Amino acid sequence: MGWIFAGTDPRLVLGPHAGISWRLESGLLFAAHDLLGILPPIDKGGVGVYNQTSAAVGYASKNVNFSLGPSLSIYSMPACHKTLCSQVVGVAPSGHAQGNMYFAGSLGVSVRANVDWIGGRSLVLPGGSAAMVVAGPVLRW
Amino acid sequence: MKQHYLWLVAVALACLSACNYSVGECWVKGEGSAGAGAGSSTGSGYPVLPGGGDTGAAPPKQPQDATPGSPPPPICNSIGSYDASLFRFKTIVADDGNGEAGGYQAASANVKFVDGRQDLPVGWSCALTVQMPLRTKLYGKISPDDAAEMTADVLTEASSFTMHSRSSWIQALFCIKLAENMIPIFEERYKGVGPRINAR
Repeated sequence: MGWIFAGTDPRLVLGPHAGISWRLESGLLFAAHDLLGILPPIDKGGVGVYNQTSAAVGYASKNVNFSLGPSLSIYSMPACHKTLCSQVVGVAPSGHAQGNMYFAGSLGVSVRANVDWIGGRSLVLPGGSAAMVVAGPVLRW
Repeated sequence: MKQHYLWLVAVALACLSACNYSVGECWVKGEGSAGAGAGSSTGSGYPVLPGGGDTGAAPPKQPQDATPGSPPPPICNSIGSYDASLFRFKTIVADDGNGEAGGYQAASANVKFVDGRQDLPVGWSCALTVQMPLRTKLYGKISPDDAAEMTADVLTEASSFTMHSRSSWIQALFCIKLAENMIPIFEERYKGVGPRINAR
């Protein structure tokens, strides 16, 4: 669960996040993630979908790991400028950082933040950036 | 092998550029939500940019011309486009048939703009005059209809580019920049036409 700031209003994001990572003996971490977010409808708009695929490098210890890297987001969501809203479809390159902390065996908590470069022909999101912060439980095996 | 690298570069560049567009109708913020009150807080004008134009005869519908009781949906599938019917070219210098280009034709239109990016939409207009030859080496004879099509096409591109090049505008500066921006777009799309453009 998290919040995405695209346009003028923060929006709630709900959805699963899956990842696979390889940890070297040195602690170096390579990871790939996919985050699928569902955005509840606003005003006259429908449900939004936001999917972000990312690659990352980082560092991992026994119970904590941290990674960052580039991402690519695909989205279809209602968004608003100052006075106007519309359903916006687009692709956005982005960067992200993620930290996981495991405190009960394979169960832990994950926090992820990313910034997307938003732009294109949409009247309501013609240019700028979108930020998203997501936090929730994480399970590893 | 070299082609493979070019493909990789192309894919990398595609991944590095953001693109988006609006799907379906726009709505004014707050419309359709519970407790949204009267809906639009933007007054009588819809936040559309740019607007159409007005030559005095059969003007395209303007967002700000909407009647309060039955407002049309805002246009947002694209930035907006201009119709060639805005520009009625008339011959001002006849073509004597000599040389690679000849004659001159001109059209004027009052082109309206509405910047909906502001808290309260701001509207203004530019008096646009376009002159171009009746005949060029590359295109041969340029009919008034062809000239109007070219002008509307270039104006659509230039107005979007100009509007988005600043977060807000004052009318006089916008009109000047619009005319300046139309010249290179004309040259890129309709090489050799070499129009004279004035906007104020």
